[in-house]
Amino acid sequence: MQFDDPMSPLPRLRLDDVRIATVDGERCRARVSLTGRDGEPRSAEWEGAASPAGRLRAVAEATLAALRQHTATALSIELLGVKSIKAFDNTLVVASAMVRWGGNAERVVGSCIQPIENPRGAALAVLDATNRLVGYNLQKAMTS
Amino acid sequence: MTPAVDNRIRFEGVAITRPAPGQIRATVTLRWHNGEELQGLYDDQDTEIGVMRAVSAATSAALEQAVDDRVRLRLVGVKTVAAFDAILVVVALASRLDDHEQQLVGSCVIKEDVEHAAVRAVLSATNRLLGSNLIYLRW
Repeated sequence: MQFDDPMSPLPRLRLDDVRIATVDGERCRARVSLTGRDGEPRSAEWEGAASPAGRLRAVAEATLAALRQHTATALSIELLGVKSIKAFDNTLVVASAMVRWGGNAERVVGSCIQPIENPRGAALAVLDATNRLVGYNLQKAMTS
Repeated sequence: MTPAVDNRIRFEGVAITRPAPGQIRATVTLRWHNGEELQGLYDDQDTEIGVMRAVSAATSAALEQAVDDRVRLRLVGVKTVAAFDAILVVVALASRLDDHEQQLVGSCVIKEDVEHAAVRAVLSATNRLLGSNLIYLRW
């Protein structure tokens, strides 16, 4: 059974690729690529500190930067934070963002089960946090 | 506000009653887009963690009804976490559909109360699994 989204009630973005590289001893550069229903991949990069927390943040920010390319100016999304927590005998990555659209604002949170060394965790947590509001705005853009 | 999307399940309400001393019963009501009501019940201890567990399990039970029990959901755990200047409810579930097993995790900021947040955390955990397959699983 493939749990993907061709029948999803709202358009979703697909996480294509997450790469993170150490730029010098103390910096890292994350690159995240997302594809929308038009099949067009859009990538974004973000630099941060090369610490575990800095790498999580760089991936989360790169994910939001790629996401903004799909949503244009319909949404304003700001990362509030991303962190790794131990729970239920697993490592979870949790991300929170403030989403503003029209006259509305909503604080959203998303999570995923992923070891901290896997950079996809922060990207998936950001997408989990934002998928409902991004999907709604993508759908609105498609029907208008 | 996010507008209605036809094949989504809506959260209608959550109620906590105390049928016996030291015991609580969570009743979670969801609504299918055609108006059909789905209700899940679960009893647990009258403690904060008991309430969160009961609400999460009752929400899972209501969701199982939505797909005629074709997906089984088992609560692995639920807890509150302080993060980003807020308190979150984080829930982990194990899902089973045919031979496919999957671990799911969902989270929600506590805005109203812990009961509402626990329901929304379960809906967040199952959103991708059930959202894509809801109509397929039901008919």
